[in-house]
Amino acid sequence: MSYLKLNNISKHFDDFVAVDHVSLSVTKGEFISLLGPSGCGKTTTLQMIAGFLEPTAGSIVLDGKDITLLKPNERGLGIVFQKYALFPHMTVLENVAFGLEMRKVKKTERLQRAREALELVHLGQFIERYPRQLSGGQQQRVALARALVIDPHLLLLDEPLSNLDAKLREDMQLELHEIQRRVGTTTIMVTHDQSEALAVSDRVAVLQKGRIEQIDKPFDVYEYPKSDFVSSFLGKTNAFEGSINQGHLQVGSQRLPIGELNLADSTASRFALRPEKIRFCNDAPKLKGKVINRIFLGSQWIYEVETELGEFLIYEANNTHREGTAEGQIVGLTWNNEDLRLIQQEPCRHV
Amino acid sequence: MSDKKNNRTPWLLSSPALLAYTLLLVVPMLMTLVLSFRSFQPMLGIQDGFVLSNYAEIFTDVYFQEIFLRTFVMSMLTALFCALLGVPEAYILNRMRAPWKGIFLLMTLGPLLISVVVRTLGWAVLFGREGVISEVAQFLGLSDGPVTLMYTQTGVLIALVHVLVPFMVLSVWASLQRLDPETERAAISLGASQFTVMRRVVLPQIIPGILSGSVIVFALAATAFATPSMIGGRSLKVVATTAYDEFLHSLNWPLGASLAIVLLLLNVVIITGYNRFIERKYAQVFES
Repeated sequence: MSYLKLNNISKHFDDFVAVDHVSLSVTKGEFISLLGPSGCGKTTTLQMIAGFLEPTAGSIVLDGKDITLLKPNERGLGIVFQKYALFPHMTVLENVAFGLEMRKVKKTERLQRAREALELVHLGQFIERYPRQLSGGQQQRVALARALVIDPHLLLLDEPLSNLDAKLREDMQLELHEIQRRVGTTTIMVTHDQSEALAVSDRVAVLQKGRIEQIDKPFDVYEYPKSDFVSSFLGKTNAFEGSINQGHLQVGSQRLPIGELNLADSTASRFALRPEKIRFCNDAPKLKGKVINRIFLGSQWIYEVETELGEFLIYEANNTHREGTAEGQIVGLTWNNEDLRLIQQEPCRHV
Repeated sequence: MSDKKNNRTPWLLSSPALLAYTLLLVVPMLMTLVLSFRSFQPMLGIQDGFVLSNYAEIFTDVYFQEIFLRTFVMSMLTALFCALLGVPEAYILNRMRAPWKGIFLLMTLGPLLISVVVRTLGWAVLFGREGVISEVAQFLGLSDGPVTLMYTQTGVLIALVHVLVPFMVLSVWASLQRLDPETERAAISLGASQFTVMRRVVLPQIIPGILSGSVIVFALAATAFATPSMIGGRSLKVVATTAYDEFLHSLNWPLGASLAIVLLLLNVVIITGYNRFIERKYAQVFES
């Protein structure tokens, strides 16, 4: 039973097609991320759901009701804007109570509910301050409280964490996740940050050029990317061309056993292999190469290895009690064949 | 040594400007101040000495009180009407799209490039007994005889508002630039109507601009000379035209000087008081 349904919506700006036949079905209480590079149509899609833009074609159905032509102030959605958009001339409490005031809630009740919403985002002690007296993270929480206090049918988040610094962003990701679980509001978040999308959502929709390339659970989008774009946009990947020949993978002069993968014979296929799936090994390596660069990130090492199949990126967790493999060293590489992904040449058009 | 030199450099560099400022503003003002304490006799002219009679005359004579009252009421009304016209004008301008925005902004501010005298003469042409307004009113049957707005309070007010409204538009425009358009969308998403958005979100954020615009308009209206003298003439005197008449017609320079000084002081008191009020009341809207 889908709660929000986008039926083939499109948005054209003159000749430019920003959103091209996007369909999406969201169940109640779900957290969906629209992920993609800038200009992929994710913000346009969100604005059409919010009602700030009218779709050129298609319809939007919320809880069984067609809202395509409904005015934004009649949709009852909570929106958190990228730059928070708090009202600078109102205190934190007045900001949060504004939506309830518009709904003609009695003063004592609305102040009470606004206070509770601020408690929810851990800002109970700042209610009398003005927005400019708060830090970016705190303003973000006020914006979230203001959107949640009206019990919205949908919570729309427009790049909510992009203005925060890295450390704060990670904390807010966890908190956003926790609050959304607790309140249970159906949420749609727009982001260009893949780790943010993977961290907080139930499902991730990856958009490119106005189309949804893939929509799946975070684990599945990462582990089973359906297109070249998805596999390279989410995390790093080592892609190479090869062909399947009698249960072997032929790449250049290398003939690698693929064993249990059981693929039909084909020519010129693209394969992807995640950097963290590759291990260094001494005996029976599947591939040999020379370390040309390495970076230490604390929790892990990143290696660039020059191989016959091109440059490979390898992540190694920092749990080996030694100082990594030196640059210039010749190393053997291996991986489990089930981690090898065959990538479709053509992105699947409709999901 | 070098410290001393550095200390002197800013003064040295700004000395030409300071000199011009002193010669052209401070000295004449001090001379006016001194002049205002001299006495005047119709047969003998200006007398040396120190008297307060000019000020006493201004503060006790009903004639002058009426002129001061008229000046300030008219300036306040001018500021009010400029706000009523200028705020929507600036808001609409700000929401216009690319080519029109520039064109209409130029049209709004363009009159500043034309002399006040020319613009006021334009109004005189419209206001006269055989002027456009009079003819149209008679043609439409709104009036039996010729109507004239010349030498009336309304006429002066209309002309002053026209002359000064660009200053209000500029001031409001500046504060609209600082307004985050997303706050309007945020209010809409929370269920506010367009009218509520204007009243509760946009207006409170541009109030500093409206208030500072009205300070500018008030000050310019209170000291305006060309417009009241051309439209209001002798029969509708304001402080500036009265001072002018004292200087050039009665030749009572000391009284004219005292009028100028009182106008200046009242203006300073009203404007600083108003400014302090704005700053205190709207401190949270101004960026810290």
